[in-house]
Amino acid sequence: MKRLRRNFFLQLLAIIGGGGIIGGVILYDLLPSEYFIWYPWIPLFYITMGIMLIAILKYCEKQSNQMMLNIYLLTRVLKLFLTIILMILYVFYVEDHRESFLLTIGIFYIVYLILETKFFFTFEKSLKKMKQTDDKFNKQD
Amino acid sequence: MLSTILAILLQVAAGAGLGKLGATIGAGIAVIGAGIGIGKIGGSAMEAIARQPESAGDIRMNMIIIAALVEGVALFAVVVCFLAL
Repeated sequence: MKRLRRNFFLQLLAIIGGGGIIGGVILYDLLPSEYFIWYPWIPLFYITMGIMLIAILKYCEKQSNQMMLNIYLLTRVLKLFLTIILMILYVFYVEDHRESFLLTIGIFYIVYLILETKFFFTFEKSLKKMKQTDDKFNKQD
Repeated sequence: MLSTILAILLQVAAGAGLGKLGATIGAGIAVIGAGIGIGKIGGSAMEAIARQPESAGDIRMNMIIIAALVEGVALFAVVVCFLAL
């Protein structure tokens, strides 16, 4: 489980962080008219969400594995609401490069969603494997 | 004559912000669709887990993947709504 969490964190850093830096450089150098000051905060927001998810799952793992699904779904809803709140605040209060901001946040959201789903898919798979191994040992006894 | 009427109607529509209204209604319909989709996935998954508790893990896995797809579409609809504003 620890390995799973570490892998998720590394993937998050590589894809969201690395993608954010590459995207930022491309926007800044090739499309300077589309670059907005708030750009670096978008990948940072998703990396923070990922770290939060890892911390919550680490805490829940000590309690119960079954509780993790509920917590995972809860963090997912929380992430959706936070993203929408962020978009509302930006659209109504900042207003600078609205289209670029919305498209960037949408792309990062979908990439993060894929990473998160993959993480949970692997988590469920490992849980199933663990259960099967336990059943096998119980039958042998 | 007809083209003049159409031009006037288009001007009126643009003035009244009907384009924005259409975009937001469209986004709203997409969100309602996503809500119904997630509700159906959740409901069916719970039913399936109640019927076959031994395959709860597989059902959960599939439920999460399909919910992710629907969630992506819902956010896309919200982004379109904000772009239209």
